[in-house]
Amino acid sequence: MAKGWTDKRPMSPHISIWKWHPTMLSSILHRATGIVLYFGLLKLAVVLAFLAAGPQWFAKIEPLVYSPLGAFVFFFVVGVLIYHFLNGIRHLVWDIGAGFDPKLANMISLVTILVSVIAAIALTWYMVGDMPGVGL
Amino acid sequence: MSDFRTDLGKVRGSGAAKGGVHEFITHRVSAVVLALLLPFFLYGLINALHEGYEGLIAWVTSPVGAFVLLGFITAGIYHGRLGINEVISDYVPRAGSRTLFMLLNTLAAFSFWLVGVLAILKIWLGA
Repeated sequence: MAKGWTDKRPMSPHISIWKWHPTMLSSILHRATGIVLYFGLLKLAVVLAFLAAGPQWFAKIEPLVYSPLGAFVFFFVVGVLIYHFLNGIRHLVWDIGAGFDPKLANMISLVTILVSVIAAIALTWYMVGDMPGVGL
Repeated sequence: MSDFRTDLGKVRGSGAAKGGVHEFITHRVSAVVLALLLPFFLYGLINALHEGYEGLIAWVTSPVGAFVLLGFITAGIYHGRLGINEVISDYVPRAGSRTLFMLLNTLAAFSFWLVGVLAILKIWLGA
């Protein structure tokens, strides 16, 4: 229970008692991936600053970008980005009042997660497949 | 009897929704901008990363690359700031710390946006 909560009335049952279902999972993932992407954008700004500072500065972060760790970060962030993109489009469709049928919504949730994982694997493969020094 | 609000409630100015409509709409408008830019951003980023330092510089100095990057980082940080503020208002129960965290989030968003935009402009104009 949240600290500082002074209301004595009983609270509604919280997330721990609900049965997990796909739309719930995709909703939680949307928020979690959104938080990750915010930090990803802040990182993009920092990388651009290193790039603008000149080649000797970019050389300091280049080994980090072109490394197995860099490849994993690329895979993770791209997967998260594509998931948030696809699920975001679904949210826009929900906003106009369509796509609320539970069976269809649950199926789209699972398909969205699957597609983003596959797309992240494919793009990472394309990205690092023929790159020297990445080690994949 | 058409007004159910207490005098104290009116003074505080905090109804259930506060200024939410503006944020609701701009959150979605920035989402549309980001969805349109994302394919160009990913395509440009992957091609540029393939060529290392020169590739990234060439991407930022190309007109399309600069446009996509400036648009993506601007709409993205704007959209992200609204999203993080929503998370903060959901999970921070005390009004004082909630306001503080949202202020810090806004300051961080503006600072990093400015760093990113200045970096893009420096590369673009310096080329």
